[in-house]
Amino acid sequence: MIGVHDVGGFHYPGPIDTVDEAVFHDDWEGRTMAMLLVVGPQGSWSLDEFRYEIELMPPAEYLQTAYYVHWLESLEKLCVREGWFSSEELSQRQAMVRRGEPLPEPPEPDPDKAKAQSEAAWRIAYHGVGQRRPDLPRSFKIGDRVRARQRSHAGHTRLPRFAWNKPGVICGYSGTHPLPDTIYNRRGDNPEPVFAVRFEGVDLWGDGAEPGTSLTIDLWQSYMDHDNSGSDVERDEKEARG
Amino acid sequence: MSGDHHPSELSEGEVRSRAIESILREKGVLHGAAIDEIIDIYTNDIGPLNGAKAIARAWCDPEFKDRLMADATAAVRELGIGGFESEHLVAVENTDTLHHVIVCTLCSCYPWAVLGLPPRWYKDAPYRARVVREPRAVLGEFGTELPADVEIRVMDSNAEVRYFILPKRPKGSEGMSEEQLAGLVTRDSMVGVTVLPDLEPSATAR
Repeated sequence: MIGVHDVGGFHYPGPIDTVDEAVFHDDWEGRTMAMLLVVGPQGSWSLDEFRYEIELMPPAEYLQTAYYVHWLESLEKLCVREGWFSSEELSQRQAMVRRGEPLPEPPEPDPDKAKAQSEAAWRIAYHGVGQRRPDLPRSFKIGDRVRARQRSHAGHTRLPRFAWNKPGVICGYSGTHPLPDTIYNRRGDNPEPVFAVRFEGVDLWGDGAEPGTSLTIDLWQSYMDHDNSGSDVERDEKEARG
Repeated sequence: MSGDHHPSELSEGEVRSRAIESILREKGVLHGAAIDEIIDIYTNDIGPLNGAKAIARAWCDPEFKDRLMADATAAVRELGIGGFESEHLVAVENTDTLHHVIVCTLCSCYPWAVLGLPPRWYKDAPYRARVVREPRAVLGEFGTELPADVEIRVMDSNAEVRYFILPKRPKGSEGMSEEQLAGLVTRDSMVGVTVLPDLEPSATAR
């Protein structure tokens, strides 16, 4: 998709606040982050579905809101989709918070469930999720020249726009992983080999590239094709020389 | 909701976070203290000191370094380090001629288990937009001036792999213990936006 989240290469995006050090700038940021980790495993959504809901935010809102508001935006939608509460119930609860009204007391805590949830959260933090998948046949080997495809359909993808139709070189194998482009809307895992692909700066940015720079990005096998036409810039120069 | 009275000037994020937590508890989706435990883990335990320990070990133990470069996930697990957003770690080495810097242009992918949660600048659009196109200029804004002949590779962490940097060991640190060395390693040097300063200024003269 062509979305506001796909910011790589934008000119004039504003200053980088290099001195900002706090992990959480307010309590609610920490609680939001933790909520996703704790309730996520009970939901049927994937990380890519979570990301896609953020990508659907109105562009101006995406750029102007705090990072964890993006998480809230997505978490709210996913919980409603899960059937845990309706968007009306959520709006009413938000209105109560805004007005400073006392919120309903939660039911008596269930010690077994609380313990299970704590243990699950601990496992995620210290052991993560998922495991390495078995390798699948690979179409590319290290050193192969490739060209990235274009992913301009409206759905989620992990092929950023700056790499579309650009030539690169396979420089590593990153394992076999589920395909984001079909996970996000629950059309299946469709695991594929993933490769680290290096793109020369000049191929991505032309005259605007800084000399001696490149970009390496992991791409799923179906994001690219073999391509031996080489650097677009070199080819253009060759044609210009006749 | 502009007609609502705002008793305590809550931010939009605070309102939404409180509301969803309240309703998740009421509906029996969320129980107990897991939220507070996760906050505690990422505030007080899982942070850049984890990565610093792995880097210091790699500087001191060539065989560990080989394992780190071959399979960083397994190597840091030897040190008890691992977890969410770090299931597939790859370490890349900075040298006198090659410098790496990490980014996630599409969202905020970052090796949590070794570096903790990312700083805000890593997640916001300006860094993500610019470091891919003009890494040298961005590094300059972090106070990092690299010689013109140093190749810069930007690593965009957009799939399952989470990259982090094995920085150059500072000159003058030869006699230091592993623990002392870990104290020299900064988060930003493992992101690649800075290089670690040498300890003997005379040794750095170019």
